[in-house]
Amino acid sequence: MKKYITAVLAASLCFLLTACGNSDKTIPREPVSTSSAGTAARETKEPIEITWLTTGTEEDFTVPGKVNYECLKDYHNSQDKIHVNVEYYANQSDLFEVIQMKLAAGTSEYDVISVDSPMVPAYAYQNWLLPIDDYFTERELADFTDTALENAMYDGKLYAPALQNSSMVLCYNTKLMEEAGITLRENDVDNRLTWDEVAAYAALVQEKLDPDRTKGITGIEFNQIGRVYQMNLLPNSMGGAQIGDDGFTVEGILNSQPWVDALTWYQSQVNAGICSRGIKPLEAPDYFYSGKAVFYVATVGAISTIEKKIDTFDYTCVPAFTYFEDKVATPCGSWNIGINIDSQCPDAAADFVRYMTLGRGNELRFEFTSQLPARNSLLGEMVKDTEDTPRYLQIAAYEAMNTAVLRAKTPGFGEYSAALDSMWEDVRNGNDVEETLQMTIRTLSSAMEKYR
Amino acid sequence: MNNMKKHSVYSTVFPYLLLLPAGVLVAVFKLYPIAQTLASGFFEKGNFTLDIYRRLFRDPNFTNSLWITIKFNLITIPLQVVISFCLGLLVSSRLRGIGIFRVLFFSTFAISTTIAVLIWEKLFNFNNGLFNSMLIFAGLPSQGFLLSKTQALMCIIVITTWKGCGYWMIFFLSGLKNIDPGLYESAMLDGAGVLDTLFRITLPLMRRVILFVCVANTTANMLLFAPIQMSTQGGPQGSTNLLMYEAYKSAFKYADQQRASAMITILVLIIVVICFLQFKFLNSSEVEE
Repeated sequence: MKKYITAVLAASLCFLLTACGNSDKTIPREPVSTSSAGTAARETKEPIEITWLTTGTEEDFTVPGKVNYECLKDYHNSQDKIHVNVEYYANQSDLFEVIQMKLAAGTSEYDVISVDSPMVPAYAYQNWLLPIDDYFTERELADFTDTALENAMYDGKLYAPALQNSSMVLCYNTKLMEEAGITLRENDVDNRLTWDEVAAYAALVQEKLDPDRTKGITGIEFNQIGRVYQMNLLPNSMGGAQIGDDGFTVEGILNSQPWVDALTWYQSQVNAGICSRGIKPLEAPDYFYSGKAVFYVATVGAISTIEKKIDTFDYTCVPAFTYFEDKVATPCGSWNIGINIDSQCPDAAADFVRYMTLGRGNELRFEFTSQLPARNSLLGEMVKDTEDTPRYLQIAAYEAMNTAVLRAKTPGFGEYSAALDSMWEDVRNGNDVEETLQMTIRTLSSAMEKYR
Repeated sequence: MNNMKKHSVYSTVFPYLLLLPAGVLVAVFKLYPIAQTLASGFFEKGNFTLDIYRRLFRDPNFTNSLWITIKFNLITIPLQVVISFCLGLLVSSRLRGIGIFRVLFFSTFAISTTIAVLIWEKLFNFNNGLFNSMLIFAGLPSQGFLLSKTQALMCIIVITTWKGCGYWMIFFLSGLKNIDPGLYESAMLDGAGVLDTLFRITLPLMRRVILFVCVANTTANMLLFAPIQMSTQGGPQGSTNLLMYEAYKSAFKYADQQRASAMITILVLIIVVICFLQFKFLNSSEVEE
């Protein structure tokens, strides 16, 4: 009997082991069905249910006046053939993990996926997204900004067009400036402040209002401190590239002079107490809201929140580095939207994607939020409209069309952002700049090996 | 005779039938994932390969994580075992109110890891933490703590030791309570001092408990993840990038399941080796007892 049971257990173990390693996400998968007709779904007689995996809170999808609620309501009112169900995650990190796990497993549970714009190459490389060139005409694609279109494509194919865009403005606390008796000089997009000027203004305010640094007033805060999205604008504004043209090489890029100079400048500001050390990205906005930061480099999307929290502030365009006035760089990219390659209803999904990126859904997005469009037609209107469009959106629209620099376009963006986020933190914490850059290069070169 | 045979078969098979549901659950939710994890580190694009391990051992992130993990455990395991044992000795005293101290020392274990890390993060905060405030008040320079590449790992060790020692103390206390007090009385009569009693009576008799604590402590510390995820994210400069956190990043941030599986396999092997060595050196023979 014991031998019999042992044999059964051994056989079970063998069975379990042979079941391993069968599914491999890197084996190319063919889409479940293909169609060249973007609106073919609407011609079916039965209503089609599709599921949209995205970020957001319950309020975003249930409360009137919230953009996603309004978009879905309008979409369902405009046609009755396609119904969109939503699965949302308030925390973006949770969404990313769900995407990584479920799409890697080949689920057909989701049809439409909200994709963080720099992750489009990674998801396309992993064969998780359906190429959707057939659902868009060249003329339609030309309406997207160059950076937005480039971001939506990988290896010459369109995967996830942009829902919206982003940019930066430099906010400053007018009350602190007034108390210190300081007025910013005249400046605009053609005659920008320089980063050295901004640092000097910040230092003056700190000297006058908080000479012994007991009040905790910081000079310059970044909305997304220590994050690649925002911090890379410093080396980019000195002409530094994000990554090599092949999408993998970092040697010769990250240790180029613009990067060394930009990181050294930033570290010098931290050492001088103008930029803060040790605070986390989630804490940075509160410093400005509570009147503890003189300057605050903020995303456009954050301005509406700032307006609710503090009324003694104003804003201007992002500064330039001295001698690099023609190389001003601003971040761009926000959320894109694509189709799961294993979707059972790609046509219906494509119809919804078109609605949200080029259709009425995209226009509604900017009626109900203060986000920035990714389309030239809408951006152009913003730049010209001096009456109804808030000034910060006009500035941002100009930046999006003229100074926007794409984040590193690489399938290994996860590894890239993790390594560079650590790099920015290490520099902020006082570690040697060149040593930190070399360590980052070593880390990334090794991490990118699997993609080559 | 036939009835006896039937009864014999029944009595042999029936217990296994009762165990079958639990066995199936263990097989499906434990053995299968373990086997799949072990196997997926050897398969790439459906083919068996050792390339994943070759890339892993050439990867400076992995070798750094491995070294940090070994360094972390070389310090933490003996530290926690010694401190827990000392706490066990202290609270095993027959004093009025000793129960309060047992509760106080154990209470750190009752706090969730998340809360414990948040509390210590506030204490270690560079800008307005308690420790730096005290240092500045005393005229000393403020310290980086979790922001310093030379101090961050020690801060993590402090957090995990503070959190874990109360728990291991309970095991030592239980073991100490099982030692016959007559042995101590005899030793005292024979003129044995405190150190003699400790090294010749207490420690030998506590060897099995020490072995258990060492093995369990090794497993817990080798798999440490939460404090790193919450506070340092492996930094600064990779100084707290333990292997478990590196595996998590591989699996959930980089979607590289094979690399994560390979790392976990290596981690398990290290745990097995360390536990084997602990068994070898600490497992006493019956004669010595």
